[in-house]
Amino acid sequence: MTKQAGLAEWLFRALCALILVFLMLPTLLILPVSFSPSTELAFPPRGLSLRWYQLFFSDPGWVDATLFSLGIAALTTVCSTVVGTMASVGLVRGRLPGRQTLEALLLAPLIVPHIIVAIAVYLQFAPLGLTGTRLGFVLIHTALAVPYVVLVVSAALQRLPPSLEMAGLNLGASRLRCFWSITMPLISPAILAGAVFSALASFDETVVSFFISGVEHQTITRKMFEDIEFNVSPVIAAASTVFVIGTVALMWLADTAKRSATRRSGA
Amino acid sequence: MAEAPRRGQLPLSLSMLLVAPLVLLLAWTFFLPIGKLLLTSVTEPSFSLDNYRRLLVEPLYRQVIIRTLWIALVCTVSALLLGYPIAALMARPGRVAVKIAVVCVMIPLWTSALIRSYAWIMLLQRKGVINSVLLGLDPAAKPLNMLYTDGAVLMAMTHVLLPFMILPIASALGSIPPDLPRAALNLGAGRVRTFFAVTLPLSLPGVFAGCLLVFVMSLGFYVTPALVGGPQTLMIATLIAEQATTLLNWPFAGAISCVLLVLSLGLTVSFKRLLRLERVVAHD
Amino acid sequence: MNGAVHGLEVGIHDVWRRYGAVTAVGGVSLTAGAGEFVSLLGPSGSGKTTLLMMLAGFEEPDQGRLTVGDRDITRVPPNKRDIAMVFQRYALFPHMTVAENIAFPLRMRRVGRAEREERVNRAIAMVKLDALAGRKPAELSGGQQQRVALARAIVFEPPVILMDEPLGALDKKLRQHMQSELRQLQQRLGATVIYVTHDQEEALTMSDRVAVMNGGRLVQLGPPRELYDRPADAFVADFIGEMNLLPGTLDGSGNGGCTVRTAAGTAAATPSTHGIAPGSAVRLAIRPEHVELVQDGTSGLRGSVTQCVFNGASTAVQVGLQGGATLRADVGARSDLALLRPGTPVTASWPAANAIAFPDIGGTPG
Repeated sequence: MTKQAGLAEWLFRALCALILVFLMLPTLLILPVSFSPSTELAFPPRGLSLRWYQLFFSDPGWVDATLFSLGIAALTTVCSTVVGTMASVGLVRGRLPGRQTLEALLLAPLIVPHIIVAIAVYLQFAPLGLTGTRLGFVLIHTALAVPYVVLVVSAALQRLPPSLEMAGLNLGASRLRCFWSITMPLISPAILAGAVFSALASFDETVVSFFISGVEHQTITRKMFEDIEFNVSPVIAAASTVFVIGTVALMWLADTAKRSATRRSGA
Repeated sequence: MAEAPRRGQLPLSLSMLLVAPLVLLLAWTFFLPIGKLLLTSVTEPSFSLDNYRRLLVEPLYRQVIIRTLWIALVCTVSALLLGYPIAALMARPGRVAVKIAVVCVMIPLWTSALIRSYAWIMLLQRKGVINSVLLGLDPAAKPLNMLYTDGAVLMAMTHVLLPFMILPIASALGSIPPDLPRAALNLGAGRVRTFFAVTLPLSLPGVFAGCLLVFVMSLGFYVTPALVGGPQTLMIATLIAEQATTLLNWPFAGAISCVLLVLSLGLTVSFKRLLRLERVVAHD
Repeated sequence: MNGAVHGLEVGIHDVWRRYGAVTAVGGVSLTAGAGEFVSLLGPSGSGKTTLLMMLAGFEEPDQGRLTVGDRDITRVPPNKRDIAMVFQRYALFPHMTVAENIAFPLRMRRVGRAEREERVNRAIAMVKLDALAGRKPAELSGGQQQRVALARAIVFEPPVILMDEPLGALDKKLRQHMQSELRQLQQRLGATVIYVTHDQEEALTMSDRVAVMNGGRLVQLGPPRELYDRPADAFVADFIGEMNLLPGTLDGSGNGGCTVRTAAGTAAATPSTHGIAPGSAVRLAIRPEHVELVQDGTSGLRGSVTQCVFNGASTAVQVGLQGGATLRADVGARSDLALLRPGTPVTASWPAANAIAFPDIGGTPG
C-alpha cells in the first residue's frame, strides 16, 4: 500500500513539475534571447551581448514610449485609488438605494472584453481630439483600473467593525477626521493592493491603448505590439525582461509594504 | 429588528457625493461609448438588423464564431486538466513545493499578455526556439510550421489563462476543512476514493468559477490571437478589430461586439455567484 | 482632571423610534439627575440599546426630545454632543497604542501636548493600567481592553457617560470586581451614567435607579430596592431576582390585603392595584426567601418537597404544590429545612405584605 502511494505521489509530483515548467518556460526563455548577440533568434544563443539592452535604454522611440506609459500609469494609479476608495466608502458605509445593482455595474469594466471598449472609446474620443492625449489615456485607464480598487477596498471596509468609526465620532472627531485617523490606516493594506493592481493594469493595458494611441504619444504596449508584428528583433526581449523584473520588484515591494502596514494596524 | 438601519451609516447625500465621481467617469468613458457603438449596429447603414443577419448567415462569419467557441472550450478544458493538479499542489500543507508553485503561477500572472504572447512567438517561429532545438538535434529536418495556426493560438491562450483557472480552484481547495479528508480515511476510504468522494465535490465551486472565468476571457481575447494567430485563425475579437480598423465598418463591428457582449455578460450574470471576483483579485 | 467632574442631567422626553411596523422605543420619558447612575434594564429587543444609541446620536428619534443639562441635543451630530460612550466590544483603535487611544478625544479637542500627556497618565492610573501605555489593544486581555475603553471615555471629563453592556464579555469574578470599580469611579468623577444591561443583578448592584424596559416601553423606574420589593407588574416581578409566580383567583380583600385561592389552598397577598374584581384571575408573586415552610403545618399552601438544591449560602427547597404548581423556598443552609427528604409534606405561608397579587392578563412570563 505504501509503495503504491509512493508511486502515485511521485507521478503526481512529476506531472506538476511538467505543468510548472509549461507555466514558467515561455517567460524564462525571454531572458537568454535578450542576451543574444545577433538579430537572428538562435537557440541556444551563441554568446552574450548587452547590445539589445543598450539599444532599449538609448533609443528615443523605446525610452519615450516607456516614460509615457509610466507617466500614465502613475496618474491612473492616483486617480483610480482616490475615486475607487471614495466609491467604496460610499457603497459600504453609505445608505444608497439599489446598492447591489450599482456594485455590479461598477465591476463591468472587468468583464467586458477590451476590444469592445477599445473601438467604442475610439469612436467617442476621436471627434473630441482625445485620442493620443495624456488626458484620454488617463480617463480610460482609470475607468478600467478602478474596479480592482473598489473590489479590494470594499472587502477590507466590510471587515472593519463600524463601531470603530462610531467610537471616533463619539470622542469628538469629525467624519473626515474619523476617516483619516481611523478608517484609512486600517484599510491601507487594501488601498495599497488596489493601487498596485491599478498601476499594473494601466502599464500592461494593450488593446485600448493600441486603438487610441496617436502619432506623437505611443504607449509602450502599442510600440511593443507593432514591433512584434512587423519586426521581431531581440530588443523586444530586452524590453520584456526589464518589464518583468520591474513588475516582480514592484509586487515584492508592495507585499513588504502591505505586511508592515498590517502589522502597524495591530491586526 | 429586521429593518433597523446599519448603525454608523453615512447620510444619503454624502454617499451619493462619494460615489458620484466614479459613476460619472464610468458613464462617460465606458457605458456611453459602448451604448453608442451598439446603437450604430442597428441604426447604420440603415435602421435594421442587417448587420446581425450578415453576421449569423454568412458562412465566413459563422465560422469565426464557431471557431472562437471551440477554441474557448478547448482552452477551458485544457486549463482545467493542467490547472487542477497545480491547485491541488498549492492547497497542500507542505511549504517548499507550495512556494515554488505560487511563484510559478504568480509571475506569469503579473506578466502582461503581450509579453507572454511574444514569448510564444519566439518559441514557435520557423526560426524560433523549438525549431532551433530540433535543428540542433537533426540538421536535416524541415522546420515545423507552428505559428499562426489554431494550435498555436490554443497553446498560447491556455498558457496565458491558466493562472485564472488555478487560483479559484486553489482557493476552494484551501477552504475545505482538513478534518474532512481525514475523516474519510479514518472511515476506510483509500486516498483515491477520498479524493473523488470528498475533495473533488467540495472543490467544484472553484472549478466552476475557474471554468467560467477562463471561458469568458477566451471569448473576448484579442492580444494573443492577434499576435500568435494569423488570417486563418480569425476569432471574434480579431474580427472586430479587422472590421473596425481595416474595413472601417463600425456598425458591423458594433454588431459583432454586441453578440460578444451578450455572450460574455450573459454567462457572467447567470453564474454571478460562482465568480466571486474579489477572491481572485485579492488573492496575493 | 481633579476627579470632580460635574455631571449634567439627562432628559429623555417622550421619545419614539419605529422601524416600519416595529416600535423599538415607544413613548419613553425619564430624567437622570446630575451625577446619577441609571441602568436601562431589559431583555433583548426591549429597546434599551436603541435608546442609548439615540442618546449618543447614532440614531434619531422619530418623536420626542433629548436633553443634556439645559441643552437640547436631539439633532446635534454625534461628535458634538460631548457625551462619552463605552461600546460593548470596546471599539479600541487597533492601530493605536493604549496611550494614543486614550489621548484621542483630547487631540480632537486640541488639548496641548503637555496637558494631554498628563491627563492621559492620570486616566491610566485611575483605571490601574500603568505600564501598559505603549501596548497595542491586540496585546491586552479582555479585562485590560475594557479598562482602556473606560479610560478613553473619562479622560476628557464628559458630564455624561453611556455604557452599552461593557462587562458582558468578562468572566463572572472579573465582572463582579469591575462592577464595584466602575461604581466607585463614577462616584469619584460625579458624571451621570446611563448603563444598558440585560443582567438584573448587575443593574441592582450598581445603580441609583433602574429603568426596566420591555417591548420598547418603560415599565418601571425606581431605586433597586423599590423594584425588588414593589414590582409594578408581573413582568418586572419575574425579571428582577428570583420570584415565584402562582396562578390563582382573588378571593376577598380588605385592610389593604387580600386572599388568593389556588389549587393548593389559600394564601395572603397585597393586591398590586385597586379594583381587581373578586373572582378574577391573578398571579401571586412571592420571593423564595419570604416563603415560610412548616413541616407538619395546617394553614397555607399544601405540597411536598421534590428537591433540595445547595446554593452555598442558602438552600433552595423545591416544593411540588397540590394542583401541579412549583414553589421555591430559600432557607438557610444550616436550617433543618435544608435537610428535608423528597416526598415530605409541607405547608407554605407568609404575611400578606410579602406577596403581591397581579391581575393575570395572560401571556405573562411564567
